[in-house]
Amino acid sequence: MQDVSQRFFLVPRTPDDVVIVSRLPWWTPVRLMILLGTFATALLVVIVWNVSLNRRAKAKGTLLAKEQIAHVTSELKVSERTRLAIELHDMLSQMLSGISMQIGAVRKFMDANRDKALHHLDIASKTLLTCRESLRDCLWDLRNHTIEEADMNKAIRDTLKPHVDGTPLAIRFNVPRDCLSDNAAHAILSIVRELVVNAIRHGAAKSIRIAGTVEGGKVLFSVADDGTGFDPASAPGMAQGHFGLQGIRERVEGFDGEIDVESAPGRGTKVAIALNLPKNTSTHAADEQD
Amino acid sequence: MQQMNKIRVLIADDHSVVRMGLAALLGAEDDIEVVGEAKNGDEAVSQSILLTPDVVVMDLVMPKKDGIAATAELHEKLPSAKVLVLTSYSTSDGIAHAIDAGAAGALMKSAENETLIEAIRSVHAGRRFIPASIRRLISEDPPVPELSPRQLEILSSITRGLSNDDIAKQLGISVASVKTHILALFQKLGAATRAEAVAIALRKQLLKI
Repeated sequence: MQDVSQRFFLVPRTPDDVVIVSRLPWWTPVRLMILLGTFATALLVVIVWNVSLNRRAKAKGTLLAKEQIAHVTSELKVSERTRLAIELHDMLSQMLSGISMQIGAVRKFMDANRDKALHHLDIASKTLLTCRESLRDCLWDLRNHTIEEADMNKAIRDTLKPHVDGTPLAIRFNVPRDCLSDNAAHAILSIVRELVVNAIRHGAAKSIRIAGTVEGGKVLFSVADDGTGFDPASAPGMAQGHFGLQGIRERVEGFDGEIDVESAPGRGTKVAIALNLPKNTSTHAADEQD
Repeated sequence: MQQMNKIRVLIADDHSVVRMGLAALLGAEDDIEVVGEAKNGDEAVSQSILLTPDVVVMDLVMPKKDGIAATAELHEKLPSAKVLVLTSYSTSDGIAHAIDAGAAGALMKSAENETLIEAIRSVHAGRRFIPASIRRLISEDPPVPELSPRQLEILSSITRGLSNDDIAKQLGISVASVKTHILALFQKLGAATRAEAVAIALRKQLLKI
């Protein structure tokens, strides 16, 4: 009740007695708080929205990247799978059929003609060895991704790694990888491997030169060695169970290509091969109405 | 048995390992004589006309001319020669087309040796030789209608993972016509998506190697 004693009243006679000197400030603590509160809320909303947007963008980005990776991987898998299927069909499946038939002949001749039976048994067992080598090479190629290597020189070197034991190799393969289909690249690598294995195993080569160029829609390549050489006319062939050169001929024929074997006893061996590259499809597309 | 009564057989296969095996196996039979070998479809036709074999054992997949085309040509030019097609693929397409082209028999390369010999005797005697397993294969997995060269090109591009834009650029045609080709291609394959088309192409070995 103390307050009451300090109260007093001004009673103007008319409103004119009041003169406004300055108006009350609009800012009151309450209003300030409300305003700041609104700003803070808005800021918070923006921040939360931003963070969630960021998160969503990141998730979407990861998803896209994952999709992209899956896409590329499946592409790789498809081409790898196709090539593997070709390899298994062309080499292993055919050889296994051959072996089974040779053994069938062995069974027929076993009692009546021992020599013939032994001959067919010999071919069957040599074919089996070739099978094993093909399978080993096939697995090596798969594990080492030689077919995906962008530089043919390196691809050749990688392919030959398990087969050359210190034999000097001079590789000058001036063929851009992207002008070869996967099949062509794989055929070239397989042929070069076979020729190099032959040079080392049968020719006792001390050094080997591998060269390649592209010329007029063809890949020309050669493998030359300084080994013992042989007489191409009297070299053991299929009938003796030597499949190497015949296998190469068949691969070359698959590309409608040509092979030339130059060798003589004591004078080394040079095998030159020309493979037709599939025609660039855009050149004959012009013939069509499109 | 008299020399004259032997069944004269010509072997056509692009793999010499298989030719050698067939020659060894068939040559061991008393009533069969291998009269010649061919390493592609062209040779199969020309050698058959030259040697007039009773039976031609024909591989389906060969360079230059495949076994189906060679079978059709032989059926027309040398109807006396019975064609027995051999295949190592377990898809119905090639076999069904070869039978349509006039092959008297069909066999998987993985068949037993005895079955192969029986098949040769059978088609030589004028009977068709199509094992139940192959008949079942054809009815369960109907062959894809023949694809045009352009459709094959596009299928091969799809298999390599190229986009419509890439394919258009590569073939020098518009994206719209690529889409039209793909639509027709999918219809023939019975595929709804690119992935499905690739799967069918791989399974049915539609792309010549």
